[in-house]
Amino acid sequence: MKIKVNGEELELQDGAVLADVCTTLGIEGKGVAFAIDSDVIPRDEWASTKLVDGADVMMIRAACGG
Amino acid sequence: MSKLIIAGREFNSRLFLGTGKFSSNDLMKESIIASETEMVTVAMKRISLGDANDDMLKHIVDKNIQLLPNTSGVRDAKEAVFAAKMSREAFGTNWLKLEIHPDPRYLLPDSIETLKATEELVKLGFVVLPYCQADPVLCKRLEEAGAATVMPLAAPIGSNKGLRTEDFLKIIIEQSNVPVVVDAGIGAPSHAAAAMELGADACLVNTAVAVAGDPVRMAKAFRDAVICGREAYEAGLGAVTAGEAVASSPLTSFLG
Repeated sequence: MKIKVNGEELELQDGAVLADVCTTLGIEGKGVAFAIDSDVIPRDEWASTKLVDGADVMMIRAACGG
Repeated sequence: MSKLIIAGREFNSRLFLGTGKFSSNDLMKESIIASETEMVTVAMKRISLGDANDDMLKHIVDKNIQLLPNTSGVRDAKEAVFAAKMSREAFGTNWLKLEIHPDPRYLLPDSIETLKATEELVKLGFVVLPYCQADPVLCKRLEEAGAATVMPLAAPIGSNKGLRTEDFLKIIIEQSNVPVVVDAGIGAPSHAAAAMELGADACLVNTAVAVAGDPVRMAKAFRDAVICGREAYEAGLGAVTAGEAVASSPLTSFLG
């Protein structure tokens, strides 16, 4: 299935959960947060949050700033 | 120098350091170490799938450092609350530098939205350190809303202009029951020392260190300036006279 991460398409296996986005992108979850349809998803729910085709995911991470 | 206490946590350093504008992650890392800061601000950005491996957090190595995520980029209280919730998940901390500056030209904080967001975020359990105008009335309102500190600006962000709001900072420091952190516009160690001599509890510096010719040496200079200014404040500065000299040496009984 295909989802959108910050507007960019990402291909995932059917039945993927939110945690699989990190795995697919090869990044650790530290400094990362997700929202789906503007709802912030708590970290301990990443492994149980099932994604659907076309899901609109916002993914942020730490950046330099003052 | 006495310890700084914010929301029950003790800090040995009274210098907060921002992580923006460094020319490399190595320089940022070395500057953080040289500054001996225990509070470092970080921002958030949307991941681009092309550069998903760009992790700045691995350059903040001291486990004793309190991360202070900011809400830069939000335009109102509603967006700030959303950003705060995202930052809590991303960084595993409920500490937050609340900054709401919808105007990209001067980056001046929106006082009304900042107060509104502070009220809401405190209720949600955040430790809120709001970046705000050097407005003594607003700072009292933020304190009453439960802000852990107030962080009035010295001058516009990144301007390096120094304590342009000095008269108002003095009033804020006199009246505040929460720590006063002078944020934004501090461009030289002398500015930081001056703020600390006024009785500010801490200074937040970013641009002045990051864009210095040698950021690591400048970080040390700010470290020392903040200590010197605080020491002078705690030691008790002498009174300023009206203008006439007051001799420090005896003027009589020498040559008759």
